[in-house]
Amino acid sequence: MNCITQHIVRIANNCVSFDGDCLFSANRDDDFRTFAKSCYTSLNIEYPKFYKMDKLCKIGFLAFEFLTNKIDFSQYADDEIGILLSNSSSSLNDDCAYQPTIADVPSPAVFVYTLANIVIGEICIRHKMYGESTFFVSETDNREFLKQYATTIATENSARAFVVGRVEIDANDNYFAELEFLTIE
Amino acid sequence: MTTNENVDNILSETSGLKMQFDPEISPDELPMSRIDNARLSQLVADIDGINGYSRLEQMAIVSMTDALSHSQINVRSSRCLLIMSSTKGNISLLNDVNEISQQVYLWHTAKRVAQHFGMTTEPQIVSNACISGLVASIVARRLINADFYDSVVIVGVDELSRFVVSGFQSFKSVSANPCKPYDAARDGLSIGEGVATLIVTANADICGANPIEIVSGATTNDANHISGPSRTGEGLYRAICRTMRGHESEQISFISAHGTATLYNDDMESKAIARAGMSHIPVVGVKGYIGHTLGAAGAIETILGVESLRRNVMIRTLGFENLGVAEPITISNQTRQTELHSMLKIASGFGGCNAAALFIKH
Repeated sequence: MNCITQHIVRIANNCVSFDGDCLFSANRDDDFRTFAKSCYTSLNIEYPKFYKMDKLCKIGFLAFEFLTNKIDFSQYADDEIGILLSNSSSSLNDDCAYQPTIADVPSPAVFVYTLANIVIGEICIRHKMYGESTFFVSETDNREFLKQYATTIATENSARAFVVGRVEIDANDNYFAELEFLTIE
Repeated sequence: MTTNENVDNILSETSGLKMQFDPEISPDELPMSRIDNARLSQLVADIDGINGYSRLEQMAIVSMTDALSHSQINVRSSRCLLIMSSTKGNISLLNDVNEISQQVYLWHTAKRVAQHFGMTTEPQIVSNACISGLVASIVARRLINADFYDSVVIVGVDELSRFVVSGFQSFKSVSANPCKPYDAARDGLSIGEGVATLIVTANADICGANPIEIVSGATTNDANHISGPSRTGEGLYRAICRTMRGHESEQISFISAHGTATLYNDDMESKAIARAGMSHIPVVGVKGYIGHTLGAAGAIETILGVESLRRNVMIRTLGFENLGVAEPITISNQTRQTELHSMLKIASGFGGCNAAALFIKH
């Protein structure tokens, strides 16, 4: 079985591209918060939960939103698309936000995001997806491993297509997101 | 404690949860299940070169050393993969957010552990909340069946930390008393820490008497809420269905369930189990013995279930007395000798994630 990449969304350097073409870009000097907000606005969606998300969830959510805007998912049942994501820092960005609250009043609203897989949760809630999903951590981009793993899931008919990729934001708000929409043949 | 020591304690219904006050972990006295540091130091001293490693790294290496000593796999082979399962790894080393040690990164921990054993493949880490340990088995099965690897070493590990305990306490989900899974009087989870190693291989012949096969497994999402489980148990129900697809006639001996003893989790599990038509199958929850060990839970609890199968002993769900969940499921409330053949393991976690896997004894 082979993975065929149908589309790619990449968000880096305050620019969103779809299959290599720039969809949206903002001032390079904008901080992450500002950039994320301008992405959200450009999408023209009504989803107030976005504002509660931590930064990892925001970047993952946005990347997924830009991806699905351009793809027709309706041919897939609600559990036929698998989601396999990875990064190297796990939820470190939010861990650093939570840690200082411990000595004072530990914040549940921040603590809930100290797990990297929550980004998958936010995506699934938004798009009503019930299928296979796992968050991995690896030092460098493990895309080949994720695709290998995806083929094994497809072989047992547990998914027909996948969103696979890297969603990253470090303790200094340096971020990167790249999602591939794959079909398996 | 080794597998045998843990199992012996559980079969004699001895709990690892003890009321403790440790200001490093929490300002409150709480029931906790802990790894004994004196015992750990002894085991660490017997292994070359890991004295300066973090406590969590030492736990992982000690566990893997023990498991590998009983195994014939070639851990250095390019056909052998390490999967580490952990939610927060070395988070206790995150003190100054302006100066973050590389040791805090999960990949760094996995790499250090893999290098200690001379492993030659890039380790992968499953960091998927409390289902991580079970997901690791599901991933291992799929990779081996597809012939990408001959063997997968899974190490599930998490340790108690102020970071994690304060977080759970902020959710008001920690009980002041030892947890009571599925019980009418349950009021929250008990925290634990632990480590477990599973070696999964394509070759049943090297598994000793009664090899246990991971026959199927699946992960799903509730698509409902990031910290609360689905009110209908939709995600877990689908995970169970997908796991049982093709094995519908399997007479499952018991379900090793998640049973955190929070109001919502245990209710949700009962709904998923009932919807799957499994209300009559005995449910075993072990968190009354070991607490919630987070990233290690799926691995530790799978091993306890495997030992149950091998010894033909049904474990009692310690802490359970009177059923208090939404659906009238069957809870194992007695340690007893009985013929056991297969186990359905289920788990759920933050982010609406769920996993299920079917294990059959040969």
